[in-house]
Amino acid sequence: MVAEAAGLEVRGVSVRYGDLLAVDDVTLDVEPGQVLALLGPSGSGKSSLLRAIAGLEPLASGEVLWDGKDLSRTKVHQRNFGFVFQDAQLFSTMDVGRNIVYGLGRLPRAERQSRVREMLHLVGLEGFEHRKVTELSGGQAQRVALARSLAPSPRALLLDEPLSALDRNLREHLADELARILREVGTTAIHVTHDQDEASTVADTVAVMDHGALLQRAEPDVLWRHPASRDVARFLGFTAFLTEEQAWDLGWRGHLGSDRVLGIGPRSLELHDDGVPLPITTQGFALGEVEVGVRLPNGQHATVKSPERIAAPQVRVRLLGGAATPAA
Amino acid sequence: MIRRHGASLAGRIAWVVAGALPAAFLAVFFVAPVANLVLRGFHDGGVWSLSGFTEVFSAPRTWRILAFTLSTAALATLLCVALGLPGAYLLYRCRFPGRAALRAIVAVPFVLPTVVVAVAFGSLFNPGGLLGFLQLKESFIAILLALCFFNVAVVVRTTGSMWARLDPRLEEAAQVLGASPRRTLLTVTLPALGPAIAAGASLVFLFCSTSFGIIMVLGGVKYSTIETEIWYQTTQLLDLRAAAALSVTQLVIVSSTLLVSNALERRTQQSMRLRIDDSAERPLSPARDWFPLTITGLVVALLLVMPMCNLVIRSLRRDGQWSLENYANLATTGSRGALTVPVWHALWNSAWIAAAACAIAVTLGILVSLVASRRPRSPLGRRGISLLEGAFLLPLGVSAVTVGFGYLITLNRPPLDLRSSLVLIPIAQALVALPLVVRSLLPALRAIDPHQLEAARALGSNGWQVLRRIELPHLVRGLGLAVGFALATSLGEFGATSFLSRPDNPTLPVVIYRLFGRPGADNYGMALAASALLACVTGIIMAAAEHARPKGVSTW
Repeated sequence: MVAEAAGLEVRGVSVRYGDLLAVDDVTLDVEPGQVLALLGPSGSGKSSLLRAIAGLEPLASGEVLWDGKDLSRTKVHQRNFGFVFQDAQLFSTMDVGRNIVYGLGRLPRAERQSRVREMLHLVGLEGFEHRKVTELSGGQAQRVALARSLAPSPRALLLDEPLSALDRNLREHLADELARILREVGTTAIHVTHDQDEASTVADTVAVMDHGALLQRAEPDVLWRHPASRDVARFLGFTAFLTEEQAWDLGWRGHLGSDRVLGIGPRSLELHDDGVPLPITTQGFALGEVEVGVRLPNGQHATVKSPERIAAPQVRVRLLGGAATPAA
Repeated sequence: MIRRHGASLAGRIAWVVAGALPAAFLAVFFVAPVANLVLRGFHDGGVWSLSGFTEVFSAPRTWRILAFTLSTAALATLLCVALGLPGAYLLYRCRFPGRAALRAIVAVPFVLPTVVVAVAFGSLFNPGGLLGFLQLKESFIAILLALCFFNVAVVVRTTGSMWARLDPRLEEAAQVLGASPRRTLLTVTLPALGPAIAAGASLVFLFCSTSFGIIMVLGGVKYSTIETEIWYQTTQLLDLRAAAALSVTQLVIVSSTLLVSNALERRTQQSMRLRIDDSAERPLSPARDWFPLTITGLVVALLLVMPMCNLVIRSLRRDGQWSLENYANLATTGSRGALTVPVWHALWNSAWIAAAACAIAVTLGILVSLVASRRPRSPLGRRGISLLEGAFLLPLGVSAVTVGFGYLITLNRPPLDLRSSLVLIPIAQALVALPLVVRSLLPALRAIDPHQLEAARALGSNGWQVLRRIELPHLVRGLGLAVGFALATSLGEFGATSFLSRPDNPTLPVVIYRLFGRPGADNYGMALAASALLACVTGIIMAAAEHARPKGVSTW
């Protein structure tokens, strides 16, 4: 276990801003070629942890290692990590091409140019070499930022909420793109996000953080089916929790055991003519569907999707499934 | 419906009047004299001709003076940028105890009277001064250093306020791409600050190329600039045509520099949109920041503090002993008939003139700022307002000597014969102070979020109520700074005043200039004492004004 550790290793790292403990004793590792998503609400310390790994924030304690070697004495510009900021941070005094070659060091002119073309092709912006960065859209700027970070072939790529400043459609599209590019390049990467869907699109494994601490790390499907605590489940969108018997009463057929409860999320309930009647509390639109709020028999609230508004005061629903969450 | 229309018409008329009043002042006391001066350069006793120019420009002396003016200004500008950039980083990007005091020390020289600074540097390099052993009396070096003394603050403030808002993640982006701190500075930080640096530099160039008092005191017979030459041609040779030709030349230099500076400033404001809300400051780290720390330390200790300390010390010494004799002598007219009135009398003159100039400048400044902070919907209205704002910054660039000279040849006959009255001095000084007053008041008004005004209107306030309850309180916050700038500028004004003051009613800077130029230990000592006194008064006024500076208002 102690022997040859390959890739990135974070051991007992804490980050402090004055009195505020932003990251509290986090330990995790990322194997070469693996993509990890750091998922958490804003203020959870995920960005601070990422900046600490890059060397942009000083460590209050702990260490960051690459291939078993401590990086604490290595300066930011010598770590060879790529970093993509939330708002691109392109150099506005240079054109797109010169932004991309910035990290390349001394190379023959022809090689530099072919690298720029290769990178622009990778991010789907062929022919953008001589554009001014002020003329790019938000999505294009973020693609250029990605190309700029990947150009020097960094040993790991750190992405700090790179898509959160974009609007929803573009964000979903770029998340798929990003996943493709990261697989294509085969780079080790940590992707910080507060968006649950984005995390599971981009990453192999997801680590959930809150209040500076690492709560759970798992593959996306495991995470959604077996959250490690109610806090994790709540952050993933499970708003109500039912015991096994309560779940059975709503038509569920599975088994939980007495030490677990079933987390009810946005996709847990469906409308069904033979279902249990529940009182409607609210109705609202989300992405063209009606999101119907219902009161569960135990008084908690949950939502069910409906193609159109429901005139009746009650609606019949059936429980399909949920997240098996520790009861305590 | 009709009533609302009437009210808005009355409002519109009120705003037009509020704008017209300062505009009329500017027309009578700035545009007319300067235009008259320009005409004088082309008009030779009833005939249009360029002979004034051909005469002036066929003299090798003119070319020597022109070359000296421009090269000195350029060199001083380079030096100010080189010395000011580390200071801008240190004072605006780093957090450390004592920073506020250090910022004040750097800021105060800009408003010290030119004559006082010239005397301070003169006494520093005179035999007996702290640096007397260098034998640099009446040297180019002394002039250059005195110019830098004033203008380092300009570079520090213009660049620093931009630096403070530069997103630190831009530099981090360069670092994670493998750029060393040095490369980051050269390829990312400085280019991003480029417009701000250039804007500051062009202002410094402007101030240096129109500097009058420094050259008058330190230049002796050896060095003269266009400004001092205008003065020389007018008052010593009485050649008004040559002076007018030189003034026109000066106007061309100044207005082209102003154009460049304004264009650059607009670019600065555009790139300011990148600014961040949370502060980019970080704690000072001596290990990382040793270079700016050293440079700024040297600049503050040697360039800024030492000359003023030397001035105070020398003013307290007489015949190798500590003594208050120099100060006691301020009640006399100096030895060998140096003055016609005692120095205290000149101080009294300076005080009431400053009060009058301040009242004029602040009143007009308030009107200009209120009008210029309107946000009219029509493009014509917006154009008019930006024109008005630009017009009131003009006196900043046009040399005070040109203004004084213009008054001399314009306001000396009906309908307005004011030359023999003392009123002209406060008016000229108010004109010189006006740009600084506007620049202190206007940002305070512009800092109001337009949504706040809209919210007030939505809550039922009419235009006047919004003005009274929201805008005026903001304006008042900038008032302390404006009054300080106006008083300090007026107390130290020398260029225009030297044309307009009469021997029996001089101001303090005029008296200091006369005393410093006369032989005799009494006169020299009195010049030092009077300079120290004037420096103290101005320094205290500016320190108080800086204290009242509202947050977020950063002019120089």
